[in-house]
Amino acid sequence: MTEAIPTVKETVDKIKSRGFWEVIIRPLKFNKDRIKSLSECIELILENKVRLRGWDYPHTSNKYGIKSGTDWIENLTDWSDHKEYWRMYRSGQFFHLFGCREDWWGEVRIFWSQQSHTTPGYGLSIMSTLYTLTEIYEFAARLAKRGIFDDFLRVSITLNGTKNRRLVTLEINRSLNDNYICNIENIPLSRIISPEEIIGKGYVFAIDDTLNIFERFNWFNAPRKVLEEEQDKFMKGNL
Amino acid sequence: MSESEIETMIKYPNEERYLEFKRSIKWDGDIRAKITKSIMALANLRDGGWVVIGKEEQQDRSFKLAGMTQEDYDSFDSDNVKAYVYERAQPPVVFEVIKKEYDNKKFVLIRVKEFDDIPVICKKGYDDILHAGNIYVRSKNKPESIAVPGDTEMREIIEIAIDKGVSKFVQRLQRTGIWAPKVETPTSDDEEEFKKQRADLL
Repeated sequence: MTEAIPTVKETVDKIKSRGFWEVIIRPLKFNKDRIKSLSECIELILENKVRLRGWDYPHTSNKYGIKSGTDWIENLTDWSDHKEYWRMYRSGQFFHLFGCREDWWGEVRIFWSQQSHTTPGYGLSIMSTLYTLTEIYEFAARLAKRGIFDDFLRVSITLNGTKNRRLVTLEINRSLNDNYICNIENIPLSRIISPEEIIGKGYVFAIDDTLNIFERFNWFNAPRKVLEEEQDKFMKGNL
Repeated sequence: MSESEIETMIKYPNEERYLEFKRSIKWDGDIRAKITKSIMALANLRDGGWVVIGKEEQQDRSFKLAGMTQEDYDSFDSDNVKAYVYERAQPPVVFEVIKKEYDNKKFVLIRVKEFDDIPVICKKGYDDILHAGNIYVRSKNKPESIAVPGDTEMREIIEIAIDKGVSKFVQRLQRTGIWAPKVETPTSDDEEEFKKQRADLL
């Protein structure tokens, strides 16, 4: 029996039914024909996606395939704890929604499903947050190297469904001394940067944003140095 | 590499350019050369890739989590695999051999890192499988490892090397303060136009 492929609406609704990330990377100036063709959009995604931990950012599912609209391409994934939907417009605007994997772990991993922190809405993994932000900025840097942004680009990241969520650590050798709980519904982050900046220090922005998110969980003294070391290992593929 | 990432690679349903599946096999004879070829090709791919051993292709082309026999599993000694590959690849490929039991079945995963500065070249041949002087890549059309077939693939490798150089150079300039990127505030942002474009998704 062939497994049904979900529609875009079903996938987007599913993603938004729990905690999710929304990412927009785009030039500042609107030019609807900035990228010559949809084929070039496909090439931009496939050749610049980031794969530092097995799973790629953004992921392209062969099952759904890359589909086209009037001036964009899209892809969706609903597999295991990965729920994603992205669009790349010819204007250079990249839009990406993906579920907090923490909220889907309970359903896909028998071992972890017994643990309370896999309950949807319960936790946000510290390391996974750092890795996700590093992947986002690395992807933006790779796009910048292709010269699609002119003078400036905007990176907007919103983490949704954070109210009453707490920071968790899943690594056996790490623990948190306190409960760090978020009091707000979502955490929006946005910055305007030049292509040179994102190529040169995208990884620094990822650390800054990670710390910004942790502050919204009332963790004000997160150890930047430790995060930098972890990020360095991550980017060198040494995890 | 976290347990969940390793599990993802084992459970992943199909092969990809960066992901190669093999049925249970023993690290011996021609197999060593074939896997070495895959490792070299994955090292020449952006962000590297994985070989997962213990997945069996079915008639409908799906992959079953069959696992490996104990004998095959035991044959993948990390030191032996590394010694064989290091003898044939220049510069040395960075990779790790991970042994993992999942769902009471045994799997071997080889995680390969992208080359550091210079693409990996085969320096010692083996029968008709490996040829000294060849650069191996992952095919764009199907998940297989092949010698560079044309200019497109060669350009891709060169671009990866250039990208790495550009990133390192820009980072070094910024770190040392020799050059600082422009920080002026842009005068306009066409937010509304971009918003309209994605209106159907909001």
